[in-house]
Amino acid sequence: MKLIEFKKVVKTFKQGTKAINAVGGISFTIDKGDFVAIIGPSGSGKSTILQLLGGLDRPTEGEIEIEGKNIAKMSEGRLTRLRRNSIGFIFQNFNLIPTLTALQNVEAGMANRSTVAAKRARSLLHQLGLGERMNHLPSLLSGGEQQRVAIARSLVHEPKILLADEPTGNLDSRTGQEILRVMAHLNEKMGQTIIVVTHSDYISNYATRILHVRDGKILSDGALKIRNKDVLEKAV
Amino acid sequence: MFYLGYLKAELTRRLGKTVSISLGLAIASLIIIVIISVSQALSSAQETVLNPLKNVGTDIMVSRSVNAENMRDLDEATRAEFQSENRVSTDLSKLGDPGQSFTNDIFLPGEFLTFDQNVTEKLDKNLVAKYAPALILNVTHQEGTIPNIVAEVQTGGEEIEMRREIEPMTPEEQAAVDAARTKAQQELQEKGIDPKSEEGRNYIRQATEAAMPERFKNQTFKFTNPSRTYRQNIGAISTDIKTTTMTVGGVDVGKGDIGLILSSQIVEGSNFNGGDQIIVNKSYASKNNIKVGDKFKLAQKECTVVGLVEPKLYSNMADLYLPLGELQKLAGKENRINLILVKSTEAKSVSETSQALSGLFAGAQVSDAQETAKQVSGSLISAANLTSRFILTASAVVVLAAFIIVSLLTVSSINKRTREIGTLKAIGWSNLEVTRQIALENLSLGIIGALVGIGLGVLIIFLLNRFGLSLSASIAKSGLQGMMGRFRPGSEGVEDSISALVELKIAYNYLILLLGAAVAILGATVSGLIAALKVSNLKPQIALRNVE
Repeated sequence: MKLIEFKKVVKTFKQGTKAINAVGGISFTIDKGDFVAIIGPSGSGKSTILQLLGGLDRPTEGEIEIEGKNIAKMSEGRLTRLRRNSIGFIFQNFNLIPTLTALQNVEAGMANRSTVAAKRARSLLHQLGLGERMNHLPSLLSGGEQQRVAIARSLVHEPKILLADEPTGNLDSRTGQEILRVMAHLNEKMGQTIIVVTHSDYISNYATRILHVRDGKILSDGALKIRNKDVLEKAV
Repeated sequence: MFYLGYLKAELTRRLGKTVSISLGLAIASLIIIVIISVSQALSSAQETVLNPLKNVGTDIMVSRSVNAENMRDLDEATRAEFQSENRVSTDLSKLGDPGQSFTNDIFLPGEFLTFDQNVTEKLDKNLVAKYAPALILNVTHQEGTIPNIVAEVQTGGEEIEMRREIEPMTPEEQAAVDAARTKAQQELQEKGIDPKSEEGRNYIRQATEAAMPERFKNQTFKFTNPSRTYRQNIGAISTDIKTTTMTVGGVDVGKGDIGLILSSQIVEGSNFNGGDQIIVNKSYASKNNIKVGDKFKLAQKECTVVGLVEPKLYSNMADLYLPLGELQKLAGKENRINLILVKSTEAKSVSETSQALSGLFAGAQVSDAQETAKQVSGSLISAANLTSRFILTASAVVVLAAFIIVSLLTVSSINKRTREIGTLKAIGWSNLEVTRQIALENLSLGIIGALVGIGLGVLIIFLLNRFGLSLSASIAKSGLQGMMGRFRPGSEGVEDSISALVELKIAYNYLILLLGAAVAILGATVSGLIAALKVSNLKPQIALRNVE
C-alpha cells in the first residue's frame, strides 16, 4: 500500500549567487511497512530528502504526497500537525532534552495528551530494556541508551512513518547495530514504516530496501529480500 | 501535566540560569521598592518639618512678636514695654556674701512680648476647636561665687570747727565795750558780788559781749554733715561667674493633644505627672548630660527631670519645659503668656480663623504652616530634593539595565537551547506550545524574582529603620529665637539657626510591594516576548544539523 510518493521533487538552495540543486527532480514511492535505507556520500542530498519527508522543509518544485495529501503546499500549522500525528523522528545526536528524565523525554513526544503518553512511555521504555533507567537524566545514560530513549519518544504517538537521520552516527558499531536491530524488529513485528538515512555498513542486514542517492539523484533503488533473521531475534 | 513537569525541571535543573535571571529581576524590584519607600519616607519627614504646626495639633500660632530691629516703628507704649520686659540688672551683692556660691536666673521674653492670658477667653468657639496657651522665655543662667568686689565707704558724722577772720573794733566800739565792762563791775560792787568770782566773771562777759558789734557775735559755729555710705565697684571684676543661656517653655498641661510638646513626643521618661517637674529637650539633655531622674535647679527651685522630649514644633523649640503656671510664677510673669496655639474647627476655615485671631488683641501676630515652612533648609531638604531628581532617574536607569541584562540572559539561554527547541518543533510541538513553555519559564522567574525582591526589599527597609537614619533640618530662627542671641549676655557664638534631627521612618505598603513585583514580572515578560520571537523564527531543521 502506497504511503509516500515523491513526484519530480526538486529542492534548490541558494548559496551566495548560485543555486545548488540538493535534490534534482526525483520520484519514488514508499509503501507501508517498508524499511527504507537512504544511503549515499555526504552532500548527496539524502538528508534533504529526509527533511522533505518529515515536512520540515518544502520542495522548490514537485509534489510530495503522504497518504495521498500533498504536503508541499501545506501550511506551517498543518505540517506541525502532520509531524505531531504521523511522523516520528530519530536524530544522530539523540536530541534528548537534558533537563528531563528518560521518561519525561519520551512523554515530550506526545505532550498534548500527557496521561496516555505517560502510560505508553513506560511501556515503550520497558520494551526497549530501559525499565530500570526511566528516571535517569540523559547525561547519566550511555549513547545506546539515549538513542533507545529517543526511539521510544519517536514511537510514543504511534506515527505512521519513522524517520531516522544517521541514528548510529554517534555510536560505536556494536551499539549502532543494536539500534538498527531494534528498528528492524519494530518493522518486522509491528509493521512500522521506517526511513533511515545512514552511512552504516551494516544497514543492508536490517533494511528491506535501499535507495542509493548521489548528487541529488537516485542511483539505484533495490529491494533486499533476505533479512538476517538471527540478528533480528536478538533485537529485543 | 507534562508542561508543569517540564517547567519544574527547567527551573531546578538549570539552577544557575534560574538564580541569575531571577536575581536580576529581584534587584530591579528591590530597587523600585526601596527607592519608592525611602522617597516616601523623605517626603513625609519633610512634611513633618515643613509643617511643624501639624505635629502639635495646631493650625495657627498667635503671638505678640515685635521686630526689635525696627524699634523706631514701634509706638511709644510698646517700645517702653519691650524695654521693660527685657531689662536685665544684676546686683551681685544682693545674692549673698562674697565667697558664697550663687545661681541666678533671668527670664526674658525677647521679641515675643507677653500678653494677658485672659485673651483666650475671647476665642470664638465657632472657629477655634482647641487651643493651648504657652509662654516661651529666654533664661540667662548665672552661676558662680560672689566676688569681693564691694567697697563700703562711710562718710560724715564728724564735727568740724571753722573760724572767720573778723575786722578789729573801731575806738568807739572799744570804748562802748569798756564802758559796758566798767558799768557791770559797778553793778557787781553794788550787789556785793566779787567780780572775780565765777558768777562775777560770767556777768561781766555777758555784758561785754552784748556791747560788742554784731560781727563779733557767733564767731564760732558747728555743723554735722549727714552720714552716707557709698558702695562702688573697685577696679575690674574678676570672678568665676558662668553665664549660660537656654530657652524654657511653659506648657499648658491640661490640653493633651495640642501644645508646645505632646505626650507622644516624650522619648524617655514621662510627661508631667506631679509638681516640681521639668521636661528636657533630648538634644539639650545629651549636650548637657542630663538624664531622667536628675535634679535641675531653675531660679532657686529644684525640679526633677521626669522626661526627655523630642519637640516637633521646630520653629518654637525650647530646651526646658515646665508647666505653664510654674514658669509664670518662677519668671514673675503671673497670668502672662506669649503664644497661643490654635486648632481651627475645620481645615477649610484656617484662613478665616487666622483673620479673626489677628484681631484678638492689639498687635496680635498670626502665623500658619506656610510661613513656618519657609524657614527650613538642611540635609533633609537636600535629600528629598535629591530623591525627587537624581535618585529617581538613577533607579530608572538601574531598572532598565536590569531589564536589558535579564533579556540578554534569557536570549542567551534560548540560544543554548536552539537544538532543544528545534527538536520539540520537529517532533510536533507547535510554535504556540514552545512559546508558551518558554513564557511560562520566564513568568516563573519573574515571580521568583518578585518574591525575592519583595523579601530583600522588606529586609533592607527593616535594616534601614533599625539603624535609624536621621537627617537634619535647619530652621531659621524666628523672631523669638533670633532675638535671644542679642539678649544673651555672655553667650558665645549664637547660631543663626536651630537644627532638628528627623528620623526617617521608612514604611512600605502593599501598593509599593506590588509595584516592585510588577517590575520583576514586567521584566520577565519583556524578555519572554523577545525569547518567544526568537523561538518562532527558529526552524525545526536545526534539530537535524549534525553538530555537537
